[in-house]
This record gives sequence, C-alpha cells and structure tokens, in this order.
Amino acid sequence: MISGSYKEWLNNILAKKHSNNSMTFSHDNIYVVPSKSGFLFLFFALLNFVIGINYQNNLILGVSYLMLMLQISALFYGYMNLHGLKLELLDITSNFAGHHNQAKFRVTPSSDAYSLNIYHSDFSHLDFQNKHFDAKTHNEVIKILLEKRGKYPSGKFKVQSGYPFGLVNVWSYLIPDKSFYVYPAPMKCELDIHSSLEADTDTGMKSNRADSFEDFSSLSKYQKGMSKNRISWRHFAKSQTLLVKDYEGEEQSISHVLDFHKVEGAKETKLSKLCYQVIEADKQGHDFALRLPNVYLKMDSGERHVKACLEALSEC
Amino acid sequence: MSANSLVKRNTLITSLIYCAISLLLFQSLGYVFCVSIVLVTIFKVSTTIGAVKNPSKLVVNLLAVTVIVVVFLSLGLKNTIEMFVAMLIGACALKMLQVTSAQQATSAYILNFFTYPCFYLFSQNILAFAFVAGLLLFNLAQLFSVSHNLPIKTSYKSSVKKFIFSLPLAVAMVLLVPKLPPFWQLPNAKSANTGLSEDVDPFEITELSRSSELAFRALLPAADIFQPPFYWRAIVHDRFDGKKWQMSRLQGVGLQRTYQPMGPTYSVIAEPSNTRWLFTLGDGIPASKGMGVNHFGTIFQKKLSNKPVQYEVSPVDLDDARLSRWEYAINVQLPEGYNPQAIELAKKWDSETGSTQEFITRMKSFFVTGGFNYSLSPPAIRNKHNVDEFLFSTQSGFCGHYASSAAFLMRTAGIPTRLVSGYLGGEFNQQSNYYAVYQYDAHAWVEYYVPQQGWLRLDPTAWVAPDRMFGSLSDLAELEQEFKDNLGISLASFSNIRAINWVRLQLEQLDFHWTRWVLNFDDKKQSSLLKALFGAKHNFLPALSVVLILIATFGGWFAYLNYRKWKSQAKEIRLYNRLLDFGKVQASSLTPKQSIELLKQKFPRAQAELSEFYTLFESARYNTESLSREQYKRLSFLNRRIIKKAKIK
Repeated sequence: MISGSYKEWLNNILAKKHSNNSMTFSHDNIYVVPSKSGFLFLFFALLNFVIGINYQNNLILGVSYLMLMLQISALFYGYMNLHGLKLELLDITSNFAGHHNQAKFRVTPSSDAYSLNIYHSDFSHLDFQNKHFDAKTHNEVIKILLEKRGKYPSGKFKVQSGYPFGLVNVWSYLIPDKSFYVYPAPMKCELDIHSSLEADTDTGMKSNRADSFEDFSSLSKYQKGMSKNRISWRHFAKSQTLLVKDYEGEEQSISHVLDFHKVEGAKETKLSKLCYQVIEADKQGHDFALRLPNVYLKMDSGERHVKACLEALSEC
Repeated sequence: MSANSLVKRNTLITSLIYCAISLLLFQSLGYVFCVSIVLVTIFKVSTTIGAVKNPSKLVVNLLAVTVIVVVFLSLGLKNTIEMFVAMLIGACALKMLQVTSAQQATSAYILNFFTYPCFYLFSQNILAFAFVAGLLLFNLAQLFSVSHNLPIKTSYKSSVKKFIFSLPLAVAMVLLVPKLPPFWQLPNAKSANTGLSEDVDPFEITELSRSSELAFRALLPAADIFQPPFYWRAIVHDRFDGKKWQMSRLQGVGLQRTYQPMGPTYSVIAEPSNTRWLFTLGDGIPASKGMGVNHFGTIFQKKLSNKPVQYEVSPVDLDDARLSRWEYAINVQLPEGYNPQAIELAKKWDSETGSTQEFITRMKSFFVTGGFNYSLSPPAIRNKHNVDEFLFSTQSGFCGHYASSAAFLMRTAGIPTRLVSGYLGGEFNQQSNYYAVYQYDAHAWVEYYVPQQGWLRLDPTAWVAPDRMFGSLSDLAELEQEFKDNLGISLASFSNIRAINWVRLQLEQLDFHWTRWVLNFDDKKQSSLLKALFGAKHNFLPALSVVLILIATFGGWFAYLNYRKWKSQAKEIRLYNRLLDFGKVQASSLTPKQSIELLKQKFPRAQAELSEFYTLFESARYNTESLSREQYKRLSFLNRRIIKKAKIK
C-alpha cells in the first residue's frame, strides 16, 4: 500500500517535471547515483581501507582514498556527460502487434556524450546500445516491442548512461504527450466479400470497380491519402496531372463491409482477421466500411481511412 | 572493434599481468603456485589465439579446485596472508578464462582494485609503488574500455585525466585524515629478505654470501657518544654446542635491570627482514611503540613487520656490574670433548696470566703474530675440533671464525664470554646525514664480563684486519677484489665507476626519503606535520580542512565545468536564455519568435526593446555572417534594459 502510493507520488512528480516533447537536460532534471558496480567499487575501497589501517600500510590506504575520490568525481563526470543534451521526440509510429513500434528522436548534445542508452522505461527490452554522440544533431530510432493491441500513451522514455567506468548511473526522463497504436496482428483469412454484399443495401457501403473508368461522374485533383486505384491514368498520360475519378450513385460499385459480427472466432481472432482484411482490401483497391461493436467507419479508401480502421481495431 | 574482441583482448592482457605479479611474488607465494599460474596463463593465451576451445564451466571449476589444493599444499595454513593472496590471484586468473561479456569483465576489473594493491603487503619500495600504481592506472583504462566499448588507447587517455584529478586529493586525504590505530590483528606476510641468522656457524662456510641489500639506516644526532666504530648489536649468542653458537634464550626476555641515560635519542629505519631483532648502538631502550628491549639492552620488534620500520632509541648504560650465578654458569659453559689443543693453549695462558686483561693481551699477540689472515672465502672446516683446526692449521677466516675461537678460548679460561652478532660500520650519506648499513656489513664479535665493570666489547677480527673497524667493508682496499667477487652483479659492485656510484647514491637517498616520509608516515609524524600546518588548532582543523578541501575542489570544479559549457554557447543564445529564465517562459515547445511575443505580453513596457532584440537575435542565428562587436554590445544592452524595465512594473 505504502509503496504503491509512494510510486504514484513519484510518478506525479516525474510527470510534472518531464512532460514535454523535447527537453534539454540540466541540474534540475538529471539524476545521479552510484551504480551497482559503483557500490562494489566502494566496497572494495572500504576493504582496502580496513587492510590499510590494520597493516598501517600507507600505500594501500592511499589506494582506498584514491578509489573514493574516483567514485565521487565519477558522479560529476557522469552528470556533465548528460548535461546540456537535448532530446526531442519527433514521432512514434504505430505498428502491428509483434512488430516494433518506432520512436524517432532527435538528440543534440552540447558536447560529446558517451555511452548513452535511450529506451522506453516500460516497453523496451534493455539491449544496451552504449552509443556515443558527438556535439551534432543525431537522429535516433528507439524500438518499442508490444504484444498487446491497443492505444498507448507514449509513456516514459529514459535516457541513461553509465559513463564513466560504469561506476555511476545517470539518467533522466522524457514524457511526451503523443500516443501510438499497436494494431492487432493480422491473421490470414479470406477477404469476406460475400458477407459484404449482403450488407449492401442497408449500409450503403460499396467497393469501387477499379476498371470502370467510364462510370465516373467527375474528376478531381489527387490528394495524398486517396486510393491510387481511382487515379485516372489516362489523364495522367495526357496532361501529367494526377486526377481522381469521383463515382456517382451507389448502384455503380460493389458494396463491401468488413463486419465484426460476420467474422468467425473469438474477439481477438476476429479483430486479427479483420485487420488482415483491411490491409488486403486496401491492397486490392477496394473501398470498404468497417463495422465494429462500438464504432462504425463509413466506406472510404486511402491511407487515412486504413489508418483510421486499424486504430479503431486496436481500440476495440 | 566489436565488444567481444575488446573483452578478449583486455582479458588476455590482464591474464599476463596476473602472471607477472605471481612471478614477482615468487619468493612469497612459492614456485608450485607460480607454475600453476603460468599454466593457466598459457591456457588463456591458447584459447585467445584459438588453439584450444574455451573451457566449459566444469573445467574451470575443476581447475579452481586444483589451484586451491595446490595453494593449500604448497603454502599451508601457517602462511595465512600468502595463502589468501595466492587464492585471490588464482581466482582472478581463472575468472579471466571464463569472462566473455562486458558485464563480467567490468566486475573483474573492479575486483582488481583490491587484488593489485595486495602486492603492497609484500613490498613497498619505490619500484613496487610505481609498478602497482601503473597497474591500477592501466586497470582503470581497461575498466573504461570494457564498460564503454572503446579501444584501450582511447580509454587510456580519458582515464589518465580522471586518475590524475583524483590523485592529489587522495594524497591530501592520506596526509590530513587522522590516522586510526589498527582495528584488529592480522597475520603479516613474511619478508623475503633474510637478515642475520640466529645461529653463528662460521666453520663450514667457504664463501660468505654477502649481499649489497640494505639492512637499515640510522640518523645519529651530533653528539660525542656517537663516534665510530659503530658496533650495532642485534643478537646475543651464549650457547656453544661444539659446532655453532646458538641464540641466547634471553634474547626475547624483557629487560629487568636499571639503567642510566647516556645521550640524545637517535632513529633507525630498519628494512623488513625475517627476524624480529633490531639494531642498537651499545645498549639502548626504545622510544617508539611496538618495540621491546631485551635482557641484553638490544631492541626487538614485538610483531614481525614486512615493511620498513622506524624506531627511536635512547642510548643507556645498563647496570650490569653484577653477574648472577646462573648467568655466570651460562656464559662459561662449553661442551665436553672438543678442541683439546685450544683448551690446552687457553689453560696455559690462564696459568701464566693474572687478570682478564692480561689474558686478552696474550691472546691478541697470538693472533697478531700467528700469521692469521682475514678472508671472505676461507677453506671449509669439517673437523669435529673446528677451533683447533682454525687456530693451528687453516688460520684464515672472517669475523665469525675469530669471534668464535676467541670466545672458546676465553670461556675455557673461565671468563664469562658471549658472542654478539650485528653490523659494523655504515656508509655515510652527506646530503641527508644518515648512515646506510648493508647486509655485507654484518659482523660478529665478543663480549666478556669483568666484575665491577660489567660487560665489555672485544673484537678479535680487528687484531687481524684493523681497517675493518672503521667504515664499511666496502671501504677496505685490500679486500676490494674479493669483496666484489662475492657481491655478484649489482650497482655496488661497480662503485668505483664514478657516474654509477653517483646514481647509486641518488637512488639510495630517494629510497631513504621514501621509507622515512611515505612508508613510515604514522600518527606521530602526522601530528607533527599537522602542528606545523595548523599550529595550536591542529586537533580539530585537519578533519575540517579535509572536508573543506573536498567541498572546495568538487564545488569549484563543478562550477568550472558548468561555466565552460555555458561559455561554449553563442552569446546571443545565452542572452536569449537569460530573458526566458527571467520571464519564466517554458520555451522548449515554442519558436524564438513565439517566445518573444509571449515576453512582449508579459512586459508591455519593453515591447520596443524586445522587437529590436529579436531582430538582432534572428540575424545572429540565421544569417551566415555573425554580428559585429557593436551589435553584440547593443544586444547585451537591450537585454539589461528589458530586464530593468520589466522589473519596474
């Protein structure tokens, strides 16, 4: 109970101090303590001290004091290593469960910084990179591995270093306000067109017929995120401009609804299957709608639509 | 370089270092252990070059058991400290076979900060100091290398800086932190140096092995009583078994007699040796802790030390005019059935003379006129009647022969006599005013008892080689060649070459100051140093000053580092940051322009200045040309002005 509330209290303080998408580390947000190795080092210094005293051996005594001084100065060296370093979170990409989500950082040290480890304090597994950064701007990609789908707040990123000698542990946090999604892992299945046809009339969802270029009602300018299947390549060949065919009337295209209730399996299986179908439908250039228990996404196509669908699947 | 190959290379070097340490401590750790460490090292080398596969855990464990058994059998429980160090080095060397990850290597290198200084338990001279200090520095570099995955050379450079920064602080701490007394008794390592032997058996020796190693140094104040020849008494031998003179049973018994002080105290710095018996000019009592004085007025260490010890002696005159009956019995005792010729001769002299003095004169003339000669390599005497053979047949020998025969003759005549071994002479160092006494100055002479006068010294060797009494053996011109043949190769054997002798004397002096001021820097020396530094307040100021020095050093250094970092920023950024700090603007998510706008809202009075500031700031940041000096001045001025205006409110 006490430790729980203490943790909460600590987290609150950290959140207050470190909530930002970009931070320059300085005296009020760098934490320095001797590391495990450092304590071992101090233990041997103490042992040397005892032996030096008992044998009245000034040389061993000197070694013991030297070790103490090294440990103390290591705290300062470690602090200065991180001091002035600017860490900026550019973006966190979403990805499917079982794959890595990538957090992109920009690291700008004010002078050479040694042995830095940047990782997510909850989600990264600790493969220590011990990277050295010289005083330039570097781009750094952190992998986050999550098995469970969902929407995640970006959480706490930790920047840590054992410099110098691994005797100290110097660290700080960055708690950005961004969030990212872990999509359900796609599970291979058939693209369920039949079920979508049934749902056609009452939902008014459809998938386009890519080859029926005759049926479009108007042309509009291509914008990023629109389905490439609707591009009028004929116009492109003529005028070098990308135009998109706008279709009229529902009866002209095949309706296609990806319906949660029509997919077989447990909830997670269903979501995984739907996830696969969303990707597959996008690949094949169909327009589609997505029906989930809690949300309904209107028929559309394009990157943005796929993203919205995947996000909805993650959050379901 | 990959982390793995770095660890590999580092551990190989460390294995070789362990091997070197064991070989240097060969005399203390024994050859069995050294051989096994060499084998482990060869194993390590072969795994590194790929000739042998990396050993499995089982193999390493079996090796560990083997090393433990080897150490146990070769050193035994008696040599506790040697065994402890051997186990430590053995464990470290085996660990090197197993280390593969940087994490393991880091722990091993941290442990080395304990392992390497153990060398100081065996030797503390300047060379040992430099050797271990170098090892520690290199170890630090290796720790840096494995923990940051950097090549050794780069690590070395960064480590040296950090090492040198800490070094003066550590020295200051040794000087200033109050010296504590030992917490508890620990077994000491045995010294590899041999000093005087407890039994004197000159007759079987054909060649006196003399070493140019230092025995001790003495600082004698200017006083009349300290005049050469310097007879440094160490061990009294009063039991003759027909072959050798054994150490007296009273050698370790405390002094019971009364005494009169004779003069100012002098100090002696004795090199470590394997006996506890120290050196006294005539009779003396110790003025230092840890020393005792025995029945004969010579000083001994209560506990054998393996580092040079410094002790103060007050010269005294023992009240030994009376000799108890049992002491008399001890000092005239002789074994039956030995040396009939010598007994006959002594009896003849005894009947012809009326006093001890006359007897001695008689004996002296026998030696002086008898054709005896002083030699460092006399023929061996294996005859049971060894004194007879020496006196009447070989007639060639060194101090042991003469002292031994004289004592035998005198005891036969009923004069209480004992053999004393110690050192004679010493080499005077003019620059530092001390006498250096070497192992080759070892000497033996005789003390005899005269009622009402006490014990008197008699040196029969001096009758044959009178020069031996003054100066060191090395000064004896006639014996020079013989002396040097016995020394073997050392600096002392080349002392007739001027440059080499000069170097030898300089080294000698350096070593003197090292032992005196570094190794023997004890609570006494510390308190006198502190008195000189802090005057009357020396009781509480030193401890305070340590704390102050540490705070001042680290504080000042920290401030300097911060200043350097701050200074490395461009001036306009420093000014801009100062404004942001002042206005308490969280700027990390804002562009400079937005921040300045925010400031304008906060301080409406300074709007004009802020605009101008921003224009200058912008041109400094985003133009290729930097600002002129006037523009920078203007920038600073604006900065001050904005803050001033904002403060008015």
